[in-house]
Amino acid sequence: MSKRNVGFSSYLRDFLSSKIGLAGLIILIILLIFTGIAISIPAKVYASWNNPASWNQYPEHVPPAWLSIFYPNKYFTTEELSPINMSLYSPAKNIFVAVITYQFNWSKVLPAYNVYFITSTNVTPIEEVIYWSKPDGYTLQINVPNGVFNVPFDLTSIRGDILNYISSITGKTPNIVNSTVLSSALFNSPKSNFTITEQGKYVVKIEIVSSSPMNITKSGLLLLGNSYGLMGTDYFGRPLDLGVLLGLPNALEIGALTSLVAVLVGIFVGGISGYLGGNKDSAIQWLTLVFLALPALPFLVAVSFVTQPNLEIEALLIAFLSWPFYAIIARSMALSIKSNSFVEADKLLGIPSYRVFFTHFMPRLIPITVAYMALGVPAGILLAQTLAFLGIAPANIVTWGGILDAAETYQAQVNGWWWWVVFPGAMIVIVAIPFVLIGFAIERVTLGER
Amino acid sequence: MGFTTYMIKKVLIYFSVLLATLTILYIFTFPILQEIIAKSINFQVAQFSQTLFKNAHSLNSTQIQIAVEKYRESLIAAYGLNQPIIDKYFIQMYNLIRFDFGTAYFLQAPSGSREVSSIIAYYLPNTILLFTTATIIFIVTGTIIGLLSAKSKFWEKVIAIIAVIHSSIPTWWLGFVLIAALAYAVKVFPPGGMTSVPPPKNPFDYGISVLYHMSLPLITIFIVNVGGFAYIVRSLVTSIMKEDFVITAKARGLPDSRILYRHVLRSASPSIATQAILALAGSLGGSLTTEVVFEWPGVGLLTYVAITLNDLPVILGITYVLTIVLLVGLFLGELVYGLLDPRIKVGE
Repeated sequence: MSKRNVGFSSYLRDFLSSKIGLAGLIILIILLIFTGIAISIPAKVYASWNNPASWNQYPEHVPPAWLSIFYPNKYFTTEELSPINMSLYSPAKNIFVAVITYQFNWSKVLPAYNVYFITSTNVTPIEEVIYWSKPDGYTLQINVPNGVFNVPFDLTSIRGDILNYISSITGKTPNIVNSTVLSSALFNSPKSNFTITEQGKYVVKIEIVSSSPMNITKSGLLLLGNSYGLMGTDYFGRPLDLGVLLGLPNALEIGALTSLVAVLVGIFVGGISGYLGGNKDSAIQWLTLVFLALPALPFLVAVSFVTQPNLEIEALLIAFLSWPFYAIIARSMALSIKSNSFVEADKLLGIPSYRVFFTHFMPRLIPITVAYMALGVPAGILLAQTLAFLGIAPANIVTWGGILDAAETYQAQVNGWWWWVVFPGAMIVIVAIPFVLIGFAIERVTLGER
Repeated sequence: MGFTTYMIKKVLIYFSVLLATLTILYIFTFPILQEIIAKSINFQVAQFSQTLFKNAHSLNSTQIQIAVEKYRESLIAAYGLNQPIIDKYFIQMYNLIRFDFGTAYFLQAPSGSREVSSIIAYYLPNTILLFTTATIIFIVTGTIIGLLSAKSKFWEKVIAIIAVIHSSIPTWWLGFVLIAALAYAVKVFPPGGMTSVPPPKNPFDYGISVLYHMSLPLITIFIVNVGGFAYIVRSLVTSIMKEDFVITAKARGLPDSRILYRHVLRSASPSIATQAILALAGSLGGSLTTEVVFEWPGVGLLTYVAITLNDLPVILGITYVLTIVLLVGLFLGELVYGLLDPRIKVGE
């Protein structure tokens, strides 16, 4: 073992001069900044994650938006339109009509993924009709069914008239009715049997009829793109970048808490065991073995059924299972420290053994403790995410393992929704790496290069 | 102290560890166990009353009810539900030692048996096949890379990188990504399962099919674990390199490779063997989720199915079995260590 100055500042200097340690520290700081952002997200958003209805107006299972840079013809993002004109008039007594006009230029070779109509009024309309004018001049009239007034609705809620239009052109009703089929009727040219997009100026008029005077409180038109955000969306349209961000604080918390408890307990138990030696050492080793033999994953699964743990209890359970590993390491370190002559000297001087332990023994274990605390964080994170992947996670918490569990359930790999698999998993790796780097760096600093 | 005494001592220690570990499990899962026993009693009572109603025509309904109640009481006594907690504990321990984990709620072994132990016995060999093969492959490769890294700077850098990979990538996630890439995007490997459907009849074709289905999980486990093992071997080897006998050998002018393979490897082998057996025992319990991703019909997939069905007896049974497997692995590790390292036989 190298002879170095034992002192915090010298360790710190050595640590900062190591490239991997510095790299780990920088990644960690960036992650902490993102954690701050994630914590500042309102609890409402957090709570809505598991409510599919909250994500209606997002395109479902679409890849990240930045793909449009590489494939400009294939991917585009959502366009949000505000009305260019709104007029209210009353053609007869007790009949009030509002007309909202939207206009947009469509220059993409693909139709929009879906169209969302957002209108809300202070009254219940009698009738709501959409006039969809295509660049070639054809106007499609769509009657909105009663049930969907005043709530944002998409093409599948008004499919009746669109399906009639499709069958009037092609002569048959499509077997599968989804938003893609419906929007192709709205955007594609009927001459090409709805295979070529009509480019040019589209005008959409929404006519709302009511029996009492009304106010339009909200109006908008969403042309959903086939790509979204930094990481795409999942099966329900939940943006994965939000999910990944929401999962960050609890991953770090569980990793840090697990590692802190497990390493402190492990080093203390292992240190005492190595220091005392003899029968007491054997007894502590026996105890360590008892806990080592508990298989982590099935044990946690079984216990989760009893306790339904929250985040902190889950972390403590993981720590409860992982301290023996650190105890074994600490014991072997303690044995090598014990062979140093200063222990003999202390004994000869008549210093009580508990004081030798706390003043001379434990301080020499501190560097390795810090190194293993860093190295222990990824293990805790991995185990927690694995549990979440198995469907065992504290309730009301967004975890990457949980997102990946959903990806597995909805067969993301079969459907080629790679972004759903890659990003949450990559986050587990990205969060684990700085701790591994820092741990390795501290280990090298304290134990010497070789 | 001879080797036999050493072995007997170890057997006693490990048996006591087994009992203690099972006790901890028992303490943590006590409420589940009570629920499982109660459900099992209800099930048996329902069956009993059905057979009575069908067969015992001479009895009226009150008599049947009395008989059913008597039966229920006898069952409660048999399972020890009405007994003090200490008796419950001993009954449970006795059952566990005999691998009697009760009956599953929903799951069945292919033979039709609902006994948890026979369900697990059907799936455990598949898990052992996959993970033992994988562990042997990464241990052999890891040892070679670890030894190489003690000699060359290049391999040392490689090891540092793959060791980082080892501690930060979840195996199941890598499997997930590899399936998406190599089984669905580029159709090189099968996406999952143990054999093709239907399984080939000819034993040779069957073996080939299993190997083919095993290759992607093997690659995944290999990538994730080889670095960690190489790192362990490297630190073992480098610490031995500093010892006097190696320096003496160098002074004698022996070639580096001879020192490494003859002297260093020989004295590192007990530790490497222990680590290898630890890895083997650990891999069985630790990588259960990998099976879920690859739909490998082993204990991991069984656990997953049991979780989705809330089949508690099966989950508990798996926990007990894996505890025993892990302990047997650790015990074998100690034996090998004792065989390889002469110092232990002489006495501690």
